[in-house]
Amino acid sequence: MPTQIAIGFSSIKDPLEACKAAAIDVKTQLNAVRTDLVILFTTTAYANPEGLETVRRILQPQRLIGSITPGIIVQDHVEPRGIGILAIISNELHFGAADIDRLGLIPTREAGLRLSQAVIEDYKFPQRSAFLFFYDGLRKNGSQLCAGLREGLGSALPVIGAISMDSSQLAFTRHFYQTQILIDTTIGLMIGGAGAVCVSSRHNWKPLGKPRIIDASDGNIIRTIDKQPAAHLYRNYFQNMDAAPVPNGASQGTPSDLRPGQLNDLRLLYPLGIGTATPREYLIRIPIDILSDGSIVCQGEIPAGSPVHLMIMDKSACRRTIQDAALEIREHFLDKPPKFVLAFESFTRQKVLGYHATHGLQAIRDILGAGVPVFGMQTIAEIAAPATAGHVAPTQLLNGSVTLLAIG
Amino acid sequence: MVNVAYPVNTFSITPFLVGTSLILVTAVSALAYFLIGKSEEYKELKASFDKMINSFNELDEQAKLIVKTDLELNKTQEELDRRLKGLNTLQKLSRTMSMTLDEQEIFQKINKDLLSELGFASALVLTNEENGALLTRVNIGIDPSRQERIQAELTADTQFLGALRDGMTFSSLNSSQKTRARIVQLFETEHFILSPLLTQRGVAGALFVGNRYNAPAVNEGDEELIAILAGQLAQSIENSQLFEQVYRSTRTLETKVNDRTRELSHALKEVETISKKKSEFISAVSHELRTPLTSIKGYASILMTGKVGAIPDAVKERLAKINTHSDNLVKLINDLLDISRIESGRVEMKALPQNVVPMLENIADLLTPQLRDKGVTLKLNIPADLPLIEYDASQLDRVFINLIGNAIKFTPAQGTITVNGHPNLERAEALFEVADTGIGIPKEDLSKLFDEFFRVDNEINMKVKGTGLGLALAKNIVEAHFGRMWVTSEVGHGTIFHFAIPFQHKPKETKKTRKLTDDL
Repeated sequence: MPTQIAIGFSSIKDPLEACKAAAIDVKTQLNAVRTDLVILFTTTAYANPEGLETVRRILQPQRLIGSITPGIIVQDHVEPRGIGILAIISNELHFGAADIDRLGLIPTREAGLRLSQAVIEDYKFPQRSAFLFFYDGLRKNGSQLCAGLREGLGSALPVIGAISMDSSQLAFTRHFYQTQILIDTTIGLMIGGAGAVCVSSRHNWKPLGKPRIIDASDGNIIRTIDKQPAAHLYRNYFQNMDAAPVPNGASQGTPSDLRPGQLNDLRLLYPLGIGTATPREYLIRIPIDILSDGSIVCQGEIPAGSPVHLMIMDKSACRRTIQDAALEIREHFLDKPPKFVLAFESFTRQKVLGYHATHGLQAIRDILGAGVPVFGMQTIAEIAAPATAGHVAPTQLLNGSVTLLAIG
Repeated sequence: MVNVAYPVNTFSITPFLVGTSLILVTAVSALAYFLIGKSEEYKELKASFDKMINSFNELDEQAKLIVKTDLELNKTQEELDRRLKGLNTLQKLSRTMSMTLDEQEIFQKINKDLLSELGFASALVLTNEENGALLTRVNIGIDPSRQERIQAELTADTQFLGALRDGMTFSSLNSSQKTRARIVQLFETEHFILSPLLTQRGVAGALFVGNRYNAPAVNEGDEELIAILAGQLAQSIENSQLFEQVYRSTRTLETKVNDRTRELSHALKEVETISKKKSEFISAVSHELRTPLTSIKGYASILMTGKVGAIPDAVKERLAKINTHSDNLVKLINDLLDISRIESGRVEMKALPQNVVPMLENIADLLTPQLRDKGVTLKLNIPADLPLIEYDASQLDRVFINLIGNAIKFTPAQGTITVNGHPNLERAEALFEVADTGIGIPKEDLSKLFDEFFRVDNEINMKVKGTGLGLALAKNIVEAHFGRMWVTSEVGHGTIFHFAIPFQHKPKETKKTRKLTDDL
């Protein structure tokens, strides 16, 4: 039996009715009693146990994983509210899934290792193609989890992940795993079997101003830059300016207000770019907090001694990112359309693109083919191997990027 | 200088010392020269480094400028996006509002989602009631107890109501410090817009939207957006109220029409009852009159024959008058009886499909002596392709005889009487006209012409005796054939009697008649 893929979506106000409508939509497309895999993305209001139970009852998935998100990617646009379902029936593709909960009780790296082991145990097949995982957005050091996963999975297997959350305020996270809605968890999925896999991750942020050196860091916390508290980098650029933009009516810290938690949209529009071994390539880090001593907290690890820039991106470069990632996939598949594309798009891009952000994904289908199913979510951080010139980079936590996983 | 206390041979040492000194001087010179060179290089390097630092700093200054410009651009873009989103929301709202005329439904359209899309967290829609008080119709995000206080305070504030009536919008952007402080305290919101709901008939109420302290301040764009929303809301409310008024008027009118129809129906029934009683009375009286009249006429005839004895000429003359008057009376009674029978439906029309031409030719023959006596010409214009008509020949000929007989009576010598006939296919009927070139009928008499016993007051009628029942009878016969009859006339130019007889005796029900029946 060839691989059958269906995508359903609903934004009916009643969450239960929406879950039902989306599941029935998928069921109608597949015309099958059971499904092998269901990936579920919902916005906060639609994450409820009855809805999950409804989806399970209708689609009877062997494995179900999912996450809440501020926006669901359905084909060529982002839906700001509702429930989206991707379901797969296949005897060419194999899946294995597992979760690790109560992350607060175990070291993050250990959690990554345990997750990889648990997923491998459930997977049971020799041929592994890609590993997909979701990580709680309230946990602040995703890089350590990546390190744990690399330890368990090796460095050759493509790994992509998404740091889940409900909004840019990071107040609420939920994961779906089989019959449960979980908090403080990480969930993994192994994909294997016949079919090529390609992961492409791009950002297109450009450095701004002079380079500075991170002279003291502690894991994911930047202590000082150029012998000064790290937050001074922002103060240097934004102090004494008029009020910054106020997107979507959200509260906005003034540029001079650099107290902890006050950066708000400035951190999204101007993230940090950490220099890498490859010239002119940068790892993007969005500050998620500023500590009282002026240290900047990020989600990914920051090595001391690294050069750092403030980064900027214009709208056309932002739109081009999607095209670049899709073109890389097309090249990889030698112009043959993939079976489906899973997309993780940083919500930062929404801030840059503004009103038209929800319709910026058309390029994927324009390049890969109008019939290719595209499904995904908006994230606060993505995990993938960043695109580098000429060599394979290790899997890392990324911000402000677009990451596409294509299964051919 | 170091003093060395060794014994030395001055003669052998001297050349050595000179040589050493030379070497030292040379080395020092070389070193000095080298150091001077290095110092120059260092200076150059330092200058380059300083230049680079300056370039970096300049780059940073430029970066600050870029950031500033970028932020301004972003700010403009965000404002534009907000405006676009707001307008889009308003467009959607306008479309949904225009789909209803129910006031309650209109208010339901203003919900939390819509408000959030417009960038506000709370809203209050207040409308003016007949007693002058403000009534809350929509409340989003405002505590109910506060809502009552707002209602009461604003209702009591005549100055505020007056300002609203003048079309004034209050906002945290444009209001005086005092007004602003009062609204902030009353609504417990930092940023607000309070806009009147202006209709053509005055202020229908007010729309309030607001945000708490940590939200962005309102700007002119927000004011414009809310003003548009208030305008649309006011327009919808006005439309709804107008519709309500029209609906109520229609209902009142309908009730009145129904009452009147009932009254008329009742009156019609009464008239029908009276008419029936009248017909029965006429019928009974006519019967009762005809019997003795027949005896009178019989006895008069016997007397006239002289079988009961010779009678003088004077008596004979009077008996002849009795006979003539009896005949007239019998005809009158027969006509009355016929009308009465037709009206009460006691006469069954034996309608058969047939051509009218032979019947008209017979009538022409019958009336030829009268026509000849009067010197009047009769023309029959009946097309050959006139479809067959279902009619009772014994009745319809009376109609033609009556009309043509009348025409002869009122047409002077050398005049012409024309009988036209043509089909009206649209209504499936045959139209007939009996036109004369007679004296015509005054306008005021036309409407009474078909009334029983009505006779036009003219010279001819004064000379020629008649009952005034002929036209009434003719009209009754036509209507008994599901037809209709009317008259047109011009004094001095002649009169045309028109009548229509359906091709089929029982007319088919048309859409129009069915609709009329349904309405009733």
